[in-house]
Amino acid sequence: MKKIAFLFFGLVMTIAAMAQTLNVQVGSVTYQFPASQTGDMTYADGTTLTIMGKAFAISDITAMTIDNTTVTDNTVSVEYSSSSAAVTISGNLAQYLTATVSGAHVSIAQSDDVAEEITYTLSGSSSDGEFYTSGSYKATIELNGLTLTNATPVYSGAAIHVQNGKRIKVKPLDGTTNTLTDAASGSQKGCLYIKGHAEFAKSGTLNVVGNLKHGIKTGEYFSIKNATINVTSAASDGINCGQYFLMESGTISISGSGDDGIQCDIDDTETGSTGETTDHEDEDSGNIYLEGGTLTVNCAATAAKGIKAEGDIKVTDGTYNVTTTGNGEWDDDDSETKAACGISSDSNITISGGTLTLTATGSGGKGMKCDGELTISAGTVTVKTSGGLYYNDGSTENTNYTGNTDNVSSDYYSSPKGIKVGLKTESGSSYTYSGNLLISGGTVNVTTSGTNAEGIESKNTLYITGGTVTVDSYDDGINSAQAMYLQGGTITVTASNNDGIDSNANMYISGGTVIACGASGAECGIDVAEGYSLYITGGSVLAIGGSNNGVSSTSGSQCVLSTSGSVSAGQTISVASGSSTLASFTVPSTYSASGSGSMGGGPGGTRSSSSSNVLISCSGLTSGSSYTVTIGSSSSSVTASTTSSDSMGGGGGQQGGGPGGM
Amino acid sequence: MKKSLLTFVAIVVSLMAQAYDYPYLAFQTSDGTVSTVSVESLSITFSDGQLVATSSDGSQTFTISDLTKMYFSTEGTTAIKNIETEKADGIGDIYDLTGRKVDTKEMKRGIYIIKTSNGTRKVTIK
Repeated sequence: MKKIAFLFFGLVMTIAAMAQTLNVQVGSVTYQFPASQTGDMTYADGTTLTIMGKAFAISDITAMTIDNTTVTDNTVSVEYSSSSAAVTISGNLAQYLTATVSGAHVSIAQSDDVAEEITYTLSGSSSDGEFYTSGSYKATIELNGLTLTNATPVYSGAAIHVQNGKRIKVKPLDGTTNTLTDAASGSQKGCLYIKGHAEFAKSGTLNVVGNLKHGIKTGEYFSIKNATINVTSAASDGINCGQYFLMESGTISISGSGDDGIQCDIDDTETGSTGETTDHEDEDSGNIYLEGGTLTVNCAATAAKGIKAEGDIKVTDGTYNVTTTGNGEWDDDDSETKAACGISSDSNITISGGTLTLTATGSGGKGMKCDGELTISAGTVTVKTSGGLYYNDGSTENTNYTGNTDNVSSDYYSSPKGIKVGLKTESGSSYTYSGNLLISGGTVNVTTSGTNAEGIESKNTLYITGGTVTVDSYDDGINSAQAMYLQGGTITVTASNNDGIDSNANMYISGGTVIACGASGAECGIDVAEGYSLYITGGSVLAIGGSNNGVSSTSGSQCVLSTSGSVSAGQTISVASGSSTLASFTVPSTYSASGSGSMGGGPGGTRSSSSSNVLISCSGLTSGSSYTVTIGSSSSSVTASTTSSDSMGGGGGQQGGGPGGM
Repeated sequence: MKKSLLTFVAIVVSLMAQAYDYPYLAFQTSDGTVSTVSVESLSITFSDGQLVATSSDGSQTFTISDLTKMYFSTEGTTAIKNIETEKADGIGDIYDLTGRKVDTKEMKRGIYIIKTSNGTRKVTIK
């Protein structure tokens, strides 16, 4: 019985598929009219045949045949074959489309009377062809195993050019691999260019080579779900879009770009940003939303950004690996240096999930940068930079400048950093500060090894209230231009050539675990700028350096212990009251007792391994009482106090000097 | 089982009837004459002002300038054309089986009685 049912079903489907279709062939274009829809097909003057509103010049008709093809309304297929292309148009669209074919170069213009979405299915291959379509109604473009290279442009230099300002779905069909390459000349803005907004879907693969400008360019928003997009080469950006960029899932890989990996800008610059809108309706924000999938970007160009947003960048899930290898460069237009950066926002960055791995190896390179606020509440951020300071005054370039920058215009150099937040803008003789850094959760790991490379810098205030922050840096591990608030979380910092944690204003430590290791000499584990104060009211704090900033008393002050000793990586430093251990710290494995320090900014001398200044604060300390501080195997009795003075390590290292110093 | 088989057959026959809804392509000329060709393997070409329709039933040629329209049809017109030719040779009136007099243009599928100069004939239009 089952067998009969299957046979029956197959027979029914076969019969149902045997619909009659009138095929009208005009050159390379075939119009398919279902017999059930044609009605009267009228001849006029012996020269014209009109079928379903489409008037054919009889002299143009190559042939008409009738077969049992099933026609799906609102569909167009283009099959490329070497130097030709066969276009098939469903009958109900015939009167609304104008198709022209020149070899394998196809142009299809949609009339403004089109009122239903058309699906264009492209397949086959050609080493010199293109697909150009224009219109004013939304459309879908399916890629069904298409390999298309535009060598000699006819309608556009792009491989696919959609001159349509509406929503265009681009679907690399499941199981297919599609490759697009544009011409090396022309006026195209992208190998795949869409004037309107593009939604990439389906789980096929799309490979793109942009020989003239961008790999993929959309005039309006770009969104992706499930698809795999590989931009293997682009003269400019890998992907460039307006309004906003949304990655919900799928895989994007960008390499070989001549400029940024992904860039998103506000489209209507006169009106300005709409900000994020509900469901992104009518949004024009320049924002980048990373909500899932896997994104890999490798940028080698000078001063290139892996991911660049004119608006905000928001990361909620997904895996993002961004590597920049280019050095900085001199920007003639702005008369200043520019440097490479993994993720860059002209506004704010918010990370509440996902895994970001950012690597910058070029001179002046940064892992992450934003002009506004950086907020990290969850997720994992790993940053590694290895380039030195980039110097360029428009005529002289130095890709590893080691001189003193105190009297050098900031326009002439770009400092490498792991994470840079905010702006410090000079205004006459004063400064304005903008942007803040807030870490309340997640895991942040920053490593910098190049000259002058700070770990984490805020050009305004800095808050750490939770999460795990680990920094191993060349220059300051964590620095803020304005006040710094360490209120929670676990913070571990080692700086081999400057302060561990440094605030250019007051610093308030009220909670969490803070281990800060600075270099020798005048460099501190914890330091604040002259004229400002360090307040400790809670938390567990260990600061190791050639020096440490003094601690000031305030309401609720937690006592501190200040001592010195021979400190080495991996050691245990503990505080005991009698037989009770009040606190125990492990010196970071990245700490180097031979780290060099400085006196004012130049390369300094080497630290004597004999002694470092050690500052400890933890709960349970009473002012005036003595506690046993054990550094490694050496113990001493230290008296607690609510204050301490700026202190140098006993028998401290040789003092270094700046250029021309002693 | 028998009942299911009968149902299957009925559905298949019905679908087949629907699938071949239009067994013919009809061509109408300016004088009102309608000629049909089978759509089976039908191919149409245009050359020197002529339309040539070739199908499994053979080939028919039309002068394009005489054509007014074409349409898919469920009925063929071969018998009607024959009758027209015969009428030219002396056919009288034509009646359907109810006794109603009909014009050749009205004739659909069915059986008709034709009075000719040579007697009365029964004709079936398929």
